[in-house]
Amino acid sequence: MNVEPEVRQESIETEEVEKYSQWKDAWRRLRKNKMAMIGLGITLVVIFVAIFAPLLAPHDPYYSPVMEDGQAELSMQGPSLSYPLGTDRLGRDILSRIIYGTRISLIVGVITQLIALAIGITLGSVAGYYGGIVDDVISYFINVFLAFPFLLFAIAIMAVFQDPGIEQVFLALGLVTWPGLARIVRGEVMSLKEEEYIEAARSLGAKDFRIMTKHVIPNCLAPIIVTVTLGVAGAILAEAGLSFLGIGAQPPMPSWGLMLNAGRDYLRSDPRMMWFPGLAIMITVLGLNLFGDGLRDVLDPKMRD
Amino acid sequence: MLTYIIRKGAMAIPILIGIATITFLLNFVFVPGDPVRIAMGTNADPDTMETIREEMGLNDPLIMQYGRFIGNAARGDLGISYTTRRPVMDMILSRLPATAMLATSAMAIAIIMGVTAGIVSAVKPYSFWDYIFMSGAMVGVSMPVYWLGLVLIVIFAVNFNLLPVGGYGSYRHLILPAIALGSRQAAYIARMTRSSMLEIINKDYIKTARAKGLAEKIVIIKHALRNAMIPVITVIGTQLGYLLGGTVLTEVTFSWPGIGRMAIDAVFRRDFPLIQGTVLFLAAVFIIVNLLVDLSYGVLDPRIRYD
Amino acid sequence: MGDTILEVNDLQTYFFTSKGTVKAVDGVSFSIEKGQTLGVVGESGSGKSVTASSIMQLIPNPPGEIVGGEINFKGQNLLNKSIDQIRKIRGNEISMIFQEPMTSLNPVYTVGDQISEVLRLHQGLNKQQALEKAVVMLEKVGIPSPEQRVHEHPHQMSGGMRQRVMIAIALACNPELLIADEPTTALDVTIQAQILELMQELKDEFETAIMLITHDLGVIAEVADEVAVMYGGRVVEKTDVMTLFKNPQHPYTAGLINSIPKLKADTNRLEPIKGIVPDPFSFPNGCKFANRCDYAVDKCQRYEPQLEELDSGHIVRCWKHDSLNLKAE
Repeated sequence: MNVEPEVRQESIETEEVEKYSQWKDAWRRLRKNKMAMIGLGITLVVIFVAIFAPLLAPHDPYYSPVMEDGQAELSMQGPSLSYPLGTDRLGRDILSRIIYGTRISLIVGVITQLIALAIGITLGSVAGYYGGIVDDVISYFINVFLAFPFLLFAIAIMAVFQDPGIEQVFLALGLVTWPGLARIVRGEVMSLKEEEYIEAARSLGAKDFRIMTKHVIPNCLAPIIVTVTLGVAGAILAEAGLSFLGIGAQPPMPSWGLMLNAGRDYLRSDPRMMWFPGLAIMITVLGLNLFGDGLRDVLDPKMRD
Repeated sequence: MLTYIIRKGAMAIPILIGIATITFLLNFVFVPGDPVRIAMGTNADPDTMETIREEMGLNDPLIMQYGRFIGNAARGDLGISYTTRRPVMDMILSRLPATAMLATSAMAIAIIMGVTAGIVSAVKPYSFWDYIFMSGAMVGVSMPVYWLGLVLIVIFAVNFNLLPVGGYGSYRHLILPAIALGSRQAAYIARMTRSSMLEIINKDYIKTARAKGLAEKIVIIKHALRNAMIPVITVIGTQLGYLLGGTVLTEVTFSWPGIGRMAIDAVFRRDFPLIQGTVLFLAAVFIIVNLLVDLSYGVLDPRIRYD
Repeated sequence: MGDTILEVNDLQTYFFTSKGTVKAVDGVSFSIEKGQTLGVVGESGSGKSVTASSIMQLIPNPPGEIVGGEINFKGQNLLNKSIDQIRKIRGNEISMIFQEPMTSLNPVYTVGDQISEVLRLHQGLNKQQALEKAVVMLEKVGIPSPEQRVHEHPHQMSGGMRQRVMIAIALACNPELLIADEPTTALDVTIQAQILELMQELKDEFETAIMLITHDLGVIAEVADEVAVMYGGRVVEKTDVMTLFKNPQHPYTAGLINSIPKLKADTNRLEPIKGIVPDPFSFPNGCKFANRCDYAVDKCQRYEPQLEELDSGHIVRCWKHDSLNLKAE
């Protein structure tokens, strides 16, 4: 009786080796995808800027010479050597604020997706794994949440908070994003749990939790990675949108959306104020979208839109 | 076909109830403290506040409030605004024409531009125009709508003085916001149309159509496009959700007097019934339009009609 | 023999891909007489379907291109005609039916619409007339209660019925040539026989010449008058159907015949042809079949044999044919 489980154990390991070479193969194909590599390049640059913001930024993004030192002449300066992109109304260096803005955008993107992942993976795998009434209830919630128009739902959640800020944005966007992930995980788990090696693991007496974390989740990593990459882009756009509306990040935070909001007042006199934050959002999101699209083509051709 | 409509319609009802429940819970359970006090500020007259509370049934047990909310919502009664003391439904309906006009024009622009670009790209893949359209689409899905709005304002309204900066009135006021709002959807539709067309063009029945001696234009428009549109319709349906969110941003950018701008004003005034009503109303619109999208499959694809 | 409907001379159709050039059809010649059936037989990759698509000029370009030869239809070279002139011929004078009846009809239109389409296009019928003719055609191809069936969609029909509809579309305009690319391969055996019988009947009724492409010599035996055997983008043997089965001259033909199961065979051993079709990106210099041929000698590996006419229109491409005695068992 001892022999058979050992044989099966071996086949599970073969499965993992196959998975590993599958990732290597995916990376090889990804490297050939020019657009995806451009996207990855942009994304790495943005991450670099975010990490080394204090070294890269020429000025303190929060320091306002106008307010703090009464240097009114530094308000709304055009581009110059010391202020490459000029200054805003409070005399703060726009370049430095954009550089620090990468931090806010990336943190929003990552934390939002972490929250969504925590909820989405838990509910999605529980629904897919147990099926039956558990699945019915969770699927109902997924469908209801998906039926909300995305940004509108985020606005409704933000409205609940008495003094909204970036932390509330994390929560709102996380709550809005999880159903998409949950649905993907649920579908993957449902099809995976019938596969032989899962059966094999179960016959070895593995606990449900262990099966899920060791076998099921790693196997639906591909669509999760794709969704999360594109989700980070979506979250960055949404945060900027909420901040632009004035119900997301609050001053003096150097959020790109907030900077665009401020730029609105100077469309006639100084449109420079709205060009750079918008470009920063677009380039960051473009990089993530290009990379995410390439990942999708490589990892999961079925998943196209 | 009729049973299909009824079945699809019946499936929407629990979703609508779920949405109503969540909007109710959001504003009545998760809002700490007294909503009326939050809305009216600390200096409000206690008697007035008590009147409002009584009027709105805020002193009843939660479950009664919930039942009343769902019942009223089902009859189209979304409560009374804290700030204007007018029925929320009336306020929404008075703003609806502006939002509907903006959203439908944006969607029309998106469909026309997106489908055309998608077809051109699919018919000659990897050609010059394919690269132009698909790069444009990639930029389109990455660009914030309100930023595109601001860019359009600076170029067409400020620099060239061709169109108004914002506001509501003639068709000239509509052009820039509709383009700003529709561009993202156009980009999604173009990408989907291209990939769907590329798949369909290789189907056997397209070869059959060519073997019949049909002109290429007819092969593409009559035989390929109708089949290719089936997944594109799905994208149009899901993108409508983003479009409705985008109307809020676009209306604020262009000072367009629609429902979205009213909702944002309501957020700043902490007018919960108005926020709640607006969100519920737009979510219902989203669900109903998606229901229509589902039904349009039946028209496009005879295989679904008989399921 | 009567008039020649189609004469293909030295046809070359190449596919230019990033991995190299595939000479899918390389110097193919044959002709079809009025009202006759030419069977074209070969394994997948032999170039038989590409030949058919070349005649219709349905080769996807890029990557495919007809780079040489003539396709003379009723004395006129189709390769010199404009695409508009070709479209007047497609579906009208030359029709084509395909292997996969399940996917060859457009799922979103009724079969009536799809038959009417050719009639309105080529015969200028109005909607009503075309629909009436469609009903007649459905009846001719043996579909019961055609007045109702004409309003149905393809998904409501079985594979055999759909292939009948395809035949109705193909014959609606009374073409002089019908190209049938593996028309029965995807069907059940009993349905196969029915479809072949139907094609025979209609051929007689409409006096249509048929180019029947198949990998199945059984089908050839049943319906073909003349047979062309293709291998590696070339015709390797061509003769009438009786001679082919009685007196095959090419080792490949003999191999194909010997791989057919026979009821009365005294041996129950089937002899599949060993080996595989050579890689189309690097065809050998010599005879394309040499690497699989039991009789191949050094010369076969080095030089490609030319087509050689034996007696009475029996042609073969083999260095060794006269020294072999390839009786079919």
